[in-house]
Amino acid sequence: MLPWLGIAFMIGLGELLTRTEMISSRHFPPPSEMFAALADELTTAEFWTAVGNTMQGWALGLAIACAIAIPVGIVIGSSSLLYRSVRAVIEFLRPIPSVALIPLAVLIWGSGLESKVFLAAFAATWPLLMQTLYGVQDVDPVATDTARSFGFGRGQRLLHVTLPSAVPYIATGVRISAAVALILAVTAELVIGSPGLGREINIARQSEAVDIMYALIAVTGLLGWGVNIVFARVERRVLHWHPSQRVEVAK
Amino acid sequence: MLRRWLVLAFACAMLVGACGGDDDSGGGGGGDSNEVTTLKVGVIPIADVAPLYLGMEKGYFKDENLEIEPQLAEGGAAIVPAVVSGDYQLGFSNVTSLVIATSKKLPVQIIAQGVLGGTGPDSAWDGVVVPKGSKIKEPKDFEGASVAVNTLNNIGPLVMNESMDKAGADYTKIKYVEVPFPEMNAALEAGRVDAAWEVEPAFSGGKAAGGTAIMHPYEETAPNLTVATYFASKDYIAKNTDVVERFKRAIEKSLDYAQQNPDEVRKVIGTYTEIPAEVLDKITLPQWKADLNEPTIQMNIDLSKKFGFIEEEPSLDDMIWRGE
Repeated sequence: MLPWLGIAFMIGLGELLTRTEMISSRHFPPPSEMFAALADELTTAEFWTAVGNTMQGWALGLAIACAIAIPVGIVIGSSSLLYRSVRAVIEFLRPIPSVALIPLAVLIWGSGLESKVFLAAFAATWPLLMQTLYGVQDVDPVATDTARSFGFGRGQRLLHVTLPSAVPYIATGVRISAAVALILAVTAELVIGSPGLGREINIARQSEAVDIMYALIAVTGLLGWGVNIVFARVERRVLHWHPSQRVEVAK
Repeated sequence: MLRRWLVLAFACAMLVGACGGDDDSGGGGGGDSNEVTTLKVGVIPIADVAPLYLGMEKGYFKDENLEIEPQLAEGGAAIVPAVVSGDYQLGFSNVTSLVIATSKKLPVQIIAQGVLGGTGPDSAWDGVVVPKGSKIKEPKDFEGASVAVNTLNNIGPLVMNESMDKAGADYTKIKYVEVPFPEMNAALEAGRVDAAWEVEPAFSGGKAAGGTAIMHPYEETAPNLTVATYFASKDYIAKNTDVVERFKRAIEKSLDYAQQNPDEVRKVIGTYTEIPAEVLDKITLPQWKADLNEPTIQMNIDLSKKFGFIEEEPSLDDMIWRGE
């Protein structure tokens, strides 16, 4: 109930500010007009193609980020020697805004899907890598020692002790990265003009069709919201055995 | 229930995306005119490039065995690098950008006319708009004023400066502010700038909001000023001369057709932009014709030098590809 109240309040506020022209309605349409434009958009094939293109770039970017960040994080996190030697490199690369790499991406991959996937993957890799690193390093040393004294090998310890302990961290990392990848996919479309919602936003902007523009912007927000819900649900289901999730369920 | 629908919608969207996604048919294409060559043409979603879309509709490109894939870029600045790198085969850019690029030794050449300014102030599709109640009444009043242009040191300030100069006003006293076209009217209304050099559809929007156009820089710089052209990289032209010739023939036919059929132009603009129909009916269309009007390109070179946008003047022969 409460979330809906918050949403209703935001929409009402937007309507009030624009109807009273405190914000010029010519440049920022009232939410009601935005929804009307959105309803029109929903019936067009172009809109769904754009959503598909965006989600395609997002999914590939996120998949690549997972394929890189999780194994690399586990390997680096398991060895303090390795961790200390690559930490500086990671801390150097991590704060680079993906958007700043757009010229590089365009130069190497052009203006299509590849650039979008690269930017999404680059940005999504870091939060996931950091989460994986923390997760692997946060293993209870007593558990590791116990496993060792029972004669568990390196591989067995990884499988039976380290991974189960790190999975909640990784799951959170994936959820954060999913949002980041979506932001970057839309940004790439906006700036480079790869097909997708971002490009449609830009076309509407160039045409001064503000109602359509903000309707599409709202759609990117809804997509992010949907992605977060789906991942949170999956996380809860997969990790139902973990104490952190049990606490949440008990609430 | 809702969740299931969401999942379904996602799945459909992914599927549509996957199907529509294979636009990787990069057309380098050889010289054989019997096989269809796919050309990626970098354009901006504005009225200027309507002939390209109209020509596609009319089959003019198909007649030349060309398939056009317009690539909508955010702005002209993104198109030149994409053409130089070969990601796009052709591009659409304003002449001043190409003068600057050629002066910097970027290997690009004009291959065909793109769009021209009006024949005179009466058919102008650009103007320097001041908001309602502004004290600016004539060119001289722009001295000391802030004027929004879409790009600094480019065609906007170039024609604005020249029009000021011709009117006997001191253009060096203008404070140029960079504002993207779509945000100019908002900037005007909020009083962030004193005036804005606008083109359609912003121009119509500005006037509809009560603004007045004081000058028409394109038309005052020269009647029938060549504003933007289609271009390619020298490398692409050398290796695909035949393709470029075919494109030139088709686009020139499209330009003439567009000029003679404004109603069809308005209709086609609605297909690749989101300009509302009621606005489309009212905007002043640009001028299109096949002739490059080379003297105005020379003028653009001279003015770029005069206003310090370039140091070395490229020659017309270097800038324009005139066929074999």
